[in-house]
Amino acid sequence: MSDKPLSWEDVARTHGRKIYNFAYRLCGDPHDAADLVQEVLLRVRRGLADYQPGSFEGWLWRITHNAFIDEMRRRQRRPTAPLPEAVDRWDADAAPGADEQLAAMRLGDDIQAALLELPYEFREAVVMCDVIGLSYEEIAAAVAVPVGTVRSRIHRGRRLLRSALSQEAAG
Amino acid sequence: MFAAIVAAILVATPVMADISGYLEASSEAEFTGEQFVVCDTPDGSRDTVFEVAQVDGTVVAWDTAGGESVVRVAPGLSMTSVGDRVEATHVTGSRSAQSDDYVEGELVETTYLGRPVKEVGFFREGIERVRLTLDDATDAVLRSRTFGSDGGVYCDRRLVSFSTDVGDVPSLPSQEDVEAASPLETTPGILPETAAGLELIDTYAVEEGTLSYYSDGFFSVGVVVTSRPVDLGDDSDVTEIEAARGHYRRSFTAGSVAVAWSSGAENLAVITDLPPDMLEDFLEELPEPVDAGFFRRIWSRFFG
Amino acid sequence: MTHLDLLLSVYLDGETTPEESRLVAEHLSQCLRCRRRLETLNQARTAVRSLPMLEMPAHLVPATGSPREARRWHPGRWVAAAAALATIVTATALALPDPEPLDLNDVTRQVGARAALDLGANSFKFVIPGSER
Repeated sequence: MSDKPLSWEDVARTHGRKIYNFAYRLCGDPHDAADLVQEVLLRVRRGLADYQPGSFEGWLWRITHNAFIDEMRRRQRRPTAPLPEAVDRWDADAAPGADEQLAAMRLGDDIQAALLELPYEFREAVVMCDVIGLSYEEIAAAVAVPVGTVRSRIHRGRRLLRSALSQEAAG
Repeated sequence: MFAAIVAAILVATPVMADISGYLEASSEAEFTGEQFVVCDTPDGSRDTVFEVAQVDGTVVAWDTAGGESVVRVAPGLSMTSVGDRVEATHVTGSRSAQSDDYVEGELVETTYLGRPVKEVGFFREGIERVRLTLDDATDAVLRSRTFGSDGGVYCDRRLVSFSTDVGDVPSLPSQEDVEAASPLETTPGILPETAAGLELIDTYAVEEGTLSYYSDGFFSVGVVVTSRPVDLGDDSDVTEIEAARGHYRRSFTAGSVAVAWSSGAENLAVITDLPPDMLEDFLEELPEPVDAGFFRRIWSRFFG
Repeated sequence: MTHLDLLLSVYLDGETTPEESRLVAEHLSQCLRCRRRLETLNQARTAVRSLPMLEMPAHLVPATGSPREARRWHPGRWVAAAAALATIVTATALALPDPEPLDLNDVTRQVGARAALDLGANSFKFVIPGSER
C-alpha cells in the first residue's frame, strides 16, 4: 500500500488491530498494548503532515518499533518485576519424549509465556514475522538492521521458543 | 556457507591427519603481516586485528595500536607483556600427540593474497573442523578457519597483509632477565586425563589455583581451578547459559571463549578456541555446576 | 556431512534465494537429522502463527473527535529485554568487595602462549594481544 491515508482515524481503523496485537504479543499486557496503540497513533498524527509518499506500512512499522523501544528504555531505569530466564540449548534437537507433550500443549497462554522469555530483539522479530506477517525485508526496514540480522534473530528466537515450550510441557 | 556444505560432501581421503606437521613447518617461516580474526559466535560477531612477525623460530604478536600488549613465543618459553608488566612461562612438557580423531582431506591448490597456496581440511566425526591455507613458497599458514557443527565458519583467522621482509618488531626483555613459571608435578584430582578427544598435557600454577592445558593436536583448552571468584571481564559480553551439565557464565572475545562456574568447592573456568558444540561436549566431562539457583537468588537479593 | 541450521528457518518462511532453496531441498532429501530439525523449528513457527489475532479494545477505535493525548504507560507488570537487564543485575551483584577475583585476561594470554608453543611457535592459535575481555 503506498497511498497516504486521509487521516489518523483511517490508520486506526485499518491498522490498529495489527499494532495492538504486535504490542500485546511483545509485552503480554493488554493495558500496555492499548497505550502503545495510542502512542503510535499520536506519532502518526504528528508525522502525517511530513509523510513522504512511499511505503506507508513501512513507515508505520518503523514508528511502532521506535515507540516500543522508547518506552522500554524508560522502563529499564526502574525494574519492577522479576525477569524470566532466557535459556538456550545449543542444539535445536528436542529432548526425547518432548514431542508428544508438545503436541498436547498448544494453549495460547503457554505460547505467550514462552514468547515473553525471549530476549527482546528475538521476540520482536518473531512477532513481526509470525504474528503480523511482515517479510524479512519489511522487518529489516522497521527495526533498521540488515536482513541477515533479521534471519538470525528469527531463527534463534524459534530455537529458544522451542526450548521454552518443551520445558513448559515437561512441567 | 554453501562452499562449506559442498566441500564437506567431498569424500575425504582417510589419511593420518598431520595438522601439527603443517603447523610445525609453518613456524619455520619468516614474515611479518597483519592478522585479522573474526568469529561468528552465539552472542554475535567478534573481531580483532593485530600485527605479527615470525623470525628465527619465534613468533611475536602485538596490538596494532602501538605495542601496548606484546606476546613472544619461542621453543621452550613464552613471554607476554602488557604495559610494563612482563610474564613468562617455561614449557618443558612434550608436544601434544596428534589425535587420531582427525582425518585429512584433499589438498586443493588455489591462490590467496596473490600467492599460490594449498588448502587442506581436517575432519572430525565426519565434520570439517579446521581448514588451513598454506603458502607454497614459505609453508606459512596464511589462513586458518574453524567450523561449527552446522558447517558454518566459527572463526576465520587470516593474514590480510604478508611480507617476507621482517621490519621493526617490538622487543621484550631477554629470557635471562625474567623469572619464568614451570609446570607443576601434579594435576588437579577433579579434572579428567582426557575429555571429548582432548588430552591433559600439563598444569601450571595461577593465583590460588591451577591452570591445566588440554589439546587434541589443534584445539586448545585451558582449565582453571581456583578458590578465587572468576572475573569474565566486560559484563555486557557475559551471558548466562544452560548447557552440558547446568548453568554457566560465558563470554566470547575474538578467537576464544571463556566459560565460568562453581562446582561447589572450587571455581572453574575454561578458556578455549573450541567451537561451541565441541565445547559443550568438553564441559560434559568436567565437574558439574552447583548452585543452579544462583541467578534467582541474585535477582531476589535486588528486587525482593 | 555438515548440517543446516539458520537456513532452515529462512526456508520455512519462503525467504531463501532460488539457489539456497535448491541446496536446502537437496540436503533435506538426504539428511534425516536436518528433516527432524526442520520439524522442531516448524513447531515453534506454527505455535506462534496459531495465536489468535485479538480484537482491539473498543475505546481505541475512533468514532469522532480528536484523539486523546497519549497517557503515561500503565505502571503495572512489564517484561523488558531479559538478557540485557539480567547481565547488568548479575554483574552488579558480583561486584563484591572481597576476595579479589581472578582476572582471566592474564590466564587467556598464558593459555594462548602455551598453545602456540605446543603447535609450533605459530601465530594461528589464540595468542591475541589487544582483544581484552
